[in-house]
Amino acid sequence: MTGVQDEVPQGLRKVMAWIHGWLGLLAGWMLFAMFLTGTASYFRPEITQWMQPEMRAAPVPPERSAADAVRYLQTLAGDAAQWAIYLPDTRTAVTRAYVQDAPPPPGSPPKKRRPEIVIDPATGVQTTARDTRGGEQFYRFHFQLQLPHPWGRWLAGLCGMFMLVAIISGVITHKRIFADFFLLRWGKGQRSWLDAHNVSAVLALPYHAMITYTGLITLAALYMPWPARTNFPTPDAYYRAMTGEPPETPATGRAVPLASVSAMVRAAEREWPGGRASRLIVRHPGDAAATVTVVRHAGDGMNARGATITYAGTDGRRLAASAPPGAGVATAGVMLGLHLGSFAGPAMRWLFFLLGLTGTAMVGTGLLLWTAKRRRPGAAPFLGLRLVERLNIAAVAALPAGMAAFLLANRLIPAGQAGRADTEVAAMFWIWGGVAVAGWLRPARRAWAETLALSAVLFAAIPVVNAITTDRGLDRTLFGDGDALFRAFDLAMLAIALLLAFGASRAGRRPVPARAPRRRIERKEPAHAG
Amino acid sequence: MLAELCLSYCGMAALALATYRLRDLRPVPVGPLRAAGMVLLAGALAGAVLRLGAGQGVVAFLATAGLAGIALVLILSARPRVAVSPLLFAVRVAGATRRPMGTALHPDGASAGG
Repeated sequence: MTGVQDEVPQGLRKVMAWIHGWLGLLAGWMLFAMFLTGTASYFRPEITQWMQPEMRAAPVPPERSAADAVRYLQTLAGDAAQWAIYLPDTRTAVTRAYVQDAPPPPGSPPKKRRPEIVIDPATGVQTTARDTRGGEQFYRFHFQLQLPHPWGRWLAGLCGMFMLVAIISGVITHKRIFADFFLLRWGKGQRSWLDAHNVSAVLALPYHAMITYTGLITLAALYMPWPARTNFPTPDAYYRAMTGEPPETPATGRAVPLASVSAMVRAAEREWPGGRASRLIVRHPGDAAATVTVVRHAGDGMNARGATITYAGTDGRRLAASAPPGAGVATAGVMLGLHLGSFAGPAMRWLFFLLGLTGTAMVGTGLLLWTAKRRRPGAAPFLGLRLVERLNIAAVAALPAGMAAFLLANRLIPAGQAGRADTEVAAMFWIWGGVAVAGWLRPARRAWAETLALSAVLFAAIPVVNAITTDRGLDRTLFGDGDALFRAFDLAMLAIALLLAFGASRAGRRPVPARAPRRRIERKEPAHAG
Repeated sequence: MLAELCLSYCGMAALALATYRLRDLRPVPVGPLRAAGMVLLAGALAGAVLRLGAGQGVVAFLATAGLAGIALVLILSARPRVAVSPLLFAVRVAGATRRPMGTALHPDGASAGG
């Protein structure tokens, strides 16, 4: 390492530090929000389950939930152009379906897109559980930033690119990667923030690099559409080449009832040893040209793009199957799987979640370091420093309050209220914005402590409100063994509340003047052991 | 998963002991300590690869090693002796199995307890 250090000119390291500082600052606030909501998204289906407390997961074999969904969709949208049916699994309690209507005859107004249909696998009809975006909200926000398509994804991509540059420039500018590998010293102002930033970045560096790079690659076709545009006549042709689905045949207009989809799901699962079917795409249901494509579960391997088998809708004949993916498609699928953690079992998913929090901490400590570096004792902070400090509070301390508000709103808005899913989302952003603005009215250090404390209180309130408004509170789940998901969720909320409260108590302290080191790790002693 | 976390943690603790001014805690000299750290981490990697295959195994190892490192750093910053105690304990156990019962344990390992 020292050899390398000597070779890197001081100028390069300075340039990299400058790039790291400014790009990190510009993208930092968005990146913090992306990291935090993205980390929560590791538990996307679990959050959705918690947000529909009326639904109790009742394991139903996939072929039965598929047949039930098809039966229900036939009564609801028998003449649709396509149904996409997402089957329940060990993490998802409901069957979700999306209906795509046939294009209207020329001249008539276009049909409205139909909302998602949620089917209760136990009853086989549309669920009466409360309407909510569930974990999907954090997941979508994490790369669409609540902006209209495609601007949110573009902005997220720009921030992701900044992040990648920040990782590389950060590694180059870090003088003592190995010497400071385990070094974290508390209560020393700027030095402590630098330690925390270094440690959270370096120890989880493979994760940070992986998550940033795979995130960008996942949306590469949006950011760089030209290769696909040059090589394929239509976006549809590109999609079919990627997935191996056969080209679409137009509807004949001749009605033929759909054969049993249960048999097709069973046949597909027989072809994938140990594999699970996760999704059905039914084209032209009820027509002589109907096809049913069964998609393999993303969690069956590292490649998150599952294999597909397509059957004829009329008699269940096997029409086609996706070829084993080529190197490019396989790489893209594995990168998507790494980003989503779709292959991970429960233990691995918790590790990814904690690594995601580490990444969030890296971005947060980086933002705080920017201000800690520029604050001069005794001098009034200049305008830019004040602005950055306030934006830091808005991103780091106030966003958790908004996320907690989203979960609280789920319990406090009446289950039957019209438009409640949108009201939940509105609650998240109004509370986030409101808490951030309220922070502007207070001196900076008070604002840090109070905003973090408020976030902690809101998170601590989640299990309480859950216990009052549902019959699945901690008072019932803690010592029972039936409702592990609700127990784990509520305990996780309490753990987050404790973490935020710890942050609030540290932020509320007056900064101590540099004092004599007392911790052992800082003590210099002559070598005598060994 | 738990075994790999323990191996990674002890490996990281050995490397930290070899790096820092924690000399009064060192059970063995820096060289063997560093080697032991590497061996322990290699053991965690091997365990993960054997259990999950090459692809997922490497991913699982990087995740466990990183998080073990983060946990170590957090405890080390507040309670250095507690942080490395699993490693010191392992050294004592290893020392005890190599010696007849009843003889004194590794002197440095014993002194670290006080």
